[in-house]
Amino acid sequence: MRRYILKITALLSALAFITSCDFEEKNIDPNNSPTIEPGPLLTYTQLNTSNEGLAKRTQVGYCMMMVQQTASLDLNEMAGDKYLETETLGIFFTTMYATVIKNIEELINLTEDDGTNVNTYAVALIWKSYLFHRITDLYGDVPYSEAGNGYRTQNFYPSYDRQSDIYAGMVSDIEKGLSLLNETKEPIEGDILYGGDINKWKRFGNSLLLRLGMRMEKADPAQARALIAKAIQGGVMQSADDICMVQHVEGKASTENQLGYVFKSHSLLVSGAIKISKTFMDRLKATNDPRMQVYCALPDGNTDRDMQKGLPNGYDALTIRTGDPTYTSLANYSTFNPATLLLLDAPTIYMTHAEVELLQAEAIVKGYISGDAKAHYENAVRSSMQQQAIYGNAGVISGQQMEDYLSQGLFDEAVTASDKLNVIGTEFWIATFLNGYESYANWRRTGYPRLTPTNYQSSPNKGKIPLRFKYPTEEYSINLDNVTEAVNNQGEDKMTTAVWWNK
Amino acid sequence: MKRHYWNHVYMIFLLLLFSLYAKAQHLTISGQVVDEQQEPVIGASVSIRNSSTGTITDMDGGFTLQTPIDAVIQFSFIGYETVEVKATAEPMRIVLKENTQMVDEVVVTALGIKREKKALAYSVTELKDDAFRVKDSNLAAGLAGKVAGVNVVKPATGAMGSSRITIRGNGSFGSNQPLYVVDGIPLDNSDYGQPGLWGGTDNGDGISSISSDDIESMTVLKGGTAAALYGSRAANGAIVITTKKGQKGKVKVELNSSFTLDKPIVNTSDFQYEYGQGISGVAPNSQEMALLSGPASWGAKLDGSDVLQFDGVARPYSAVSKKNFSNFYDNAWSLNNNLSLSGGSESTQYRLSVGDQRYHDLFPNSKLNRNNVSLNLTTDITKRITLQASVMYMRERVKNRQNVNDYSSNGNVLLWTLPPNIDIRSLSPAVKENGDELLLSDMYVYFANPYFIANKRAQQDAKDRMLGSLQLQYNITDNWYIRGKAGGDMIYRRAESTTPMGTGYLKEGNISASSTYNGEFNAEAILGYTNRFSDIWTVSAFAGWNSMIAWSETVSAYGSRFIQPNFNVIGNTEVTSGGKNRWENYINSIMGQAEVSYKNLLFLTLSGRNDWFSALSLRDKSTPNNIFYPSVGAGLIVSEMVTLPSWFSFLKARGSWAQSGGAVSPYNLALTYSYGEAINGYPTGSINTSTIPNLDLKPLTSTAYEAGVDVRFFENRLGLDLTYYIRNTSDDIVTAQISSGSGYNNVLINAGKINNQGIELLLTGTPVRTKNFEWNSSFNFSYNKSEIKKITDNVNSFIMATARAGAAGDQGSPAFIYQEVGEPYGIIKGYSYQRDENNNIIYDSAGLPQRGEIKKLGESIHPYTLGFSNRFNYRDFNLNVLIDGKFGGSVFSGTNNMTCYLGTSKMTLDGREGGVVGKGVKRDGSVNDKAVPAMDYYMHLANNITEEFVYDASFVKLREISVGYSLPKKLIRNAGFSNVMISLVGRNLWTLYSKVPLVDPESSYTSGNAQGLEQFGLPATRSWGFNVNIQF
Repeated sequence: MRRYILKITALLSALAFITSCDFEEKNIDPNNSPTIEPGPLLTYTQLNTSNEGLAKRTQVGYCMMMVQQTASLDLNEMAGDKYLETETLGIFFTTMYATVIKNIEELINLTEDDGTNVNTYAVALIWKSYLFHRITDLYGDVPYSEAGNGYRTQNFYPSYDRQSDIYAGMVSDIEKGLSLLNETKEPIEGDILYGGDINKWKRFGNSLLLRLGMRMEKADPAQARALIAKAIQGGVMQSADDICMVQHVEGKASTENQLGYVFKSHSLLVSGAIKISKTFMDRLKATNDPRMQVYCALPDGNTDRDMQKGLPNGYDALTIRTGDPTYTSLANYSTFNPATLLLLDAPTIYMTHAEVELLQAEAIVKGYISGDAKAHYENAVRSSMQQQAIYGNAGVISGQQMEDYLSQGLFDEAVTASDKLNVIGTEFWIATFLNGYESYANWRRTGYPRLTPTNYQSSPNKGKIPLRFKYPTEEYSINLDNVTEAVNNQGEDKMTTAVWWNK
Repeated sequence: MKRHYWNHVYMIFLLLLFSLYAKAQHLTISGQVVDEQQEPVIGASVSIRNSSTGTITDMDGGFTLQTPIDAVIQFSFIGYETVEVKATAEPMRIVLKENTQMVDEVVVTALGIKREKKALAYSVTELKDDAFRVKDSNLAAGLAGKVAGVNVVKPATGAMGSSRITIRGNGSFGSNQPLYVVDGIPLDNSDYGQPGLWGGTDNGDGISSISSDDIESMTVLKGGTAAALYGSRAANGAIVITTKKGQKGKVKVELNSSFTLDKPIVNTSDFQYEYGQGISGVAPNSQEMALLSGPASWGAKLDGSDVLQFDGVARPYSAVSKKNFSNFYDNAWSLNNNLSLSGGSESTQYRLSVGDQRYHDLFPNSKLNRNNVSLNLTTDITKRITLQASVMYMRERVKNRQNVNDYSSNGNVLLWTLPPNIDIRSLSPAVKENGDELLLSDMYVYFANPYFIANKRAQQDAKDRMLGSLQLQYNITDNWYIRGKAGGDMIYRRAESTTPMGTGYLKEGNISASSTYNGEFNAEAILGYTNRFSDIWTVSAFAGWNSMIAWSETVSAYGSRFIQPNFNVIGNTEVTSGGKNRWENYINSIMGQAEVSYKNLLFLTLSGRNDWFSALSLRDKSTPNNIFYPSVGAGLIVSEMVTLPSWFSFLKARGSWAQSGGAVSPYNLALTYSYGEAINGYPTGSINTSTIPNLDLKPLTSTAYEAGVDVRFFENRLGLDLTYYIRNTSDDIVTAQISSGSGYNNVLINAGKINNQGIELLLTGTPVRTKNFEWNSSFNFSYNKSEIKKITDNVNSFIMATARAGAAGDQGSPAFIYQEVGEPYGIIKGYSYQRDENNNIIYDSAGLPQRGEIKKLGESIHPYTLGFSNRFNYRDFNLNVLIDGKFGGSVFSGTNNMTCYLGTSKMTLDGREGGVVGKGVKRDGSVNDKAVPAMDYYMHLANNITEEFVYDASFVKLREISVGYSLPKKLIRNAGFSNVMISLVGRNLWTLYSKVPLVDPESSYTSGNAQGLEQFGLPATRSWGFNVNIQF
């Protein structure tokens, strides 16, 4: 009996074992690839630097609302209009790390020790810094040195680096990238920003250094000045052609202009959740700015200048009549121009020549560098207006219109340095419209244009334009020790706490 | 060896000779076997004692048999006491008495092995077909209240929804539902999608396809101890379904028809009907103002004056919304017909059944049709070889499953929040002249027009499914048998969902379609041995092998931005995409079981199973890809050992221990990449997952202990079955949330430890039994205490689900389902009121209550469940009443939260005039006396205080009632019928106890783990109907 049992068991075991031998093959995922090439990874990170949710909720819903480029009655996703604190504040953090940061780190891992992809590696280092400066500018101290590598390092709970250290790291990465860029080596793979143009990447890298240098002007003046000088010496953007942007393609959800896509997929023209701010509109009207017809239109597409109307910031559906007694319908207020900004093949802009000129103008006024501030200012205005042609014919601004605008002498009329800085800052604010991250960062740094905070009754931040985003709430349940350390270093996790470079 | 063989042949030859000799001295006996009611007993066994010769009674209970003179004849039938009579030449009339002892009851256990219930070392519950007389659209949902330890949830997703069955608590952060086995073949109970945080539809599950008319019995194997033989699939227990088979004898035709009418249960008394649409106590004075107000009921007191509405029409400012529900929701109904044909000869029996079920849900245009065809065949190929074949074809067609939870595309939202002065019918027809959705206000695009959802938005799916098995058993000798079985469950499902052009929140529309082929196939072989030694020891053992393959293959296509309106096909869209995904999963196993019984009073069972997993196999993996699952159990019939007082009829003690496992899905061991759409000719590629894979993954282990007693008194008139169990899960696969700073949102790790322990009590009794009247009563009660012992080394809590109400800063206060160490499985957390040390609510200077800390506000799973069933038989009448209840759990109600925010619920009446003065103290400790305008107060409350919207979800319901009448046999026999029974049936007739306003206490939007959250589901229904059963 026992003999039988043993025999049967042995037989069955052998049977089960033999039939299980090819299990290793059977557990190979048939839907996905076990390997990846550097090119597609770079394309992915460049394209996904902007996505649907972030474009709408973080960029427009908070950044642009808070600096009064846009306005909304909506209390939900457009809560930035009233400085309300919602879970949306955390999504930029959670999304960026889990999409582009993870993949740019993977790209760096892939190309770092691989001598044949030096240029791709260099671009990856520069682009990584671009991604991180957006994150740290919004939150302050964030995971950096331990970020994005959860699979390879098995570090699931990265510590937070101080913003000063992150800035140092980014500067070092950009400089390393610039030094590695070499036209004689293999071309950059998968570059949708500059089509592999090494010189444009050099100018972009230096322009990014200039941007970071200006950010650090208060926190680390010496390093800031050195960086600014070095960047300009290295060669920053020279013309509107140097613009850093993704040219979108209509026809596939993921390759389309994400802002246009989100307007369509959430019927935002109908619901009227996003409007041009009265503050912004008043400025365009007062200076007869030709960019108004590019930026603004009524929901039905009407771009007639006299019909355009901005919505005051800081009101909801129930209180709007106290802010604008003439209010009857949201359909009467301007929104993004569907014939330009919202075209599904319209580009997403990451950095423009115009803003680089304005940074130089500012640096000259502040005495960081020498030069002709007015010339840089006027270059900026012309470049910004020329640049609108990226939206097709509806975006073309004539030379005459540019000169008419400049002939108002806004820069010359500003007498004091502070007034000049206000003109430069206001121009920056108009030129970076639709790059809300940068508009918000630059406003925080310079304080220009001069904005009047809103006073929404139940807002925890009423009367104070916030200075940073709060950390995602889940970090407090998942990564408590590290986020606590960041809060101890940086100050309370409030929207009114200034980040390192803004203290 | 060879010599032995020849000995056997010689012996068989001798036996044959002997039997020929024996035949010479025979006697032919004949007669009829009847029961106590003098009704013939069909299929009773008639056999000669100590011999294998015998026969079975025919349709009239008759038999003839050749026996030796002086033979003792045994008459036996399951459920009846065996009678032994000496053979006589005269016709015999045998009366079989019903065996009330039940202890010789045979139940189907794991792997379809039939065992005597008294031999089992664990508690099982077997439900017979009559338990499903009052039908639910989902078979498993019909278990509610019937089995101790089984927790049934039917989400608020309508007739075509799924069910959530958990046995002895929730043991895993992953799947908690049991394994379903139909005629020995595991059923694929995949669900095809559940509503989540952002809404969606309940796409049904696998078990709902099975028709209750085809079910002979359903055995609930509660947890690891009973289901251990299923190894890695047993951790959550198993439900073993045996389908109806044909019986020897005349052809039997049975028709079963039922019709029920279902009415929505809406507690209109929890709404307010005094204040109309408007803002800050003011009624709209213009169409623009009406549009601004949208669904806000913060207007003036209804006074009947003419007030402009959203469409520019002035209508009386008076309450009309009470009828909105009955004006909009349809009266749902269901029609169920089943016809079966069964019969068979001595050697071959068959049953063919054809069923048709139709459900019209209460949401207009929402329906389900289901057809079942099943064939069962049993045939003895030779005396020793039996073949069993069964095949079921199931066809389901569903139209318009409804979105729940989130607002967009959820037609319930506006219906439930519409201001009292607005008639839902003013939103009909659903579209404006240009074809766009007619909204209450363009500013509220996510508050869909319910008529648009019912008539324009389209969803449909179709499922065709085959479930079949083939079993061959060869009884090699009287002691040895070999059994081979193979079978599969193959499901082909197509689904399509359209958000049409003109939809409020998605002007250009989109459409998605998918087809999925999924299922599983099992092959199994068993070599078994049974023997009895010297009337003392009985040994029954088997060893076997099983091989499983499960698969799924989905092809999907998607299109957005329709080109032409009203032509909803993917080809008519501007942007299209598609894809394909497939997986396969293999498990190979060996298993064995040995049962030894001593003098039929001590039973010992040992079993083991070893599973090899493809999902745990990968080159360079150092950890094993297989696991062993053992079990041991013992039962002792104390009443056979010691003499107990005469009123003690039976006493059994039992205990068992087992280890079993849980599922692990394939392709989770290594990182992979995927390529996406190209832009300007540049392909995109990225890491495929946001969950970090784990090379050393293994299935969870569930260790279960169980001890129990089964006691019966007063000739089995009163019975008590008590069980205590412990179920400890270790190495639970945690999809642990990690800091997104790592680049990933989750990591898969074996870390979780969850303990469950509890008691189950079953009291059965027959308080009255007379000749004409019998009252049987059954009361079951269970208590399960769960505790999360560990999540991971670094994580002591995580958010399993978030309520839609507070997500992304929308109106509503955030509520979460947390898993937290030291707490029960799934607790509800959210913002509490800020209180002082005396527990008074603190109000700020504006008179508004403030958010306190985020804390535990309730448990999402009821720890206590009970069912109380009473069956009365009086002559040809019978009455069944089932009451069930659950206690101790809570629910966060998004419906209550939102109707508070918008001023629709009754709670918002307080303080409409003169403002709300919150009960509590000011910051300085003095009594709060600050009045806040009602709108400001309640909007603030809804936005900030989760605690206010968490309710005790305990309930008691009159779950089922049926009154049946069997037409007198004499009357119907002439008409050719053998049985006609007419029943009145009712389901969910009365909620005897509930503390949740507005919605049903059982409302939940998912059959997944995220219990304890509710928002704008389909209302529960109260159904009445009748059932006719005709046999001829």
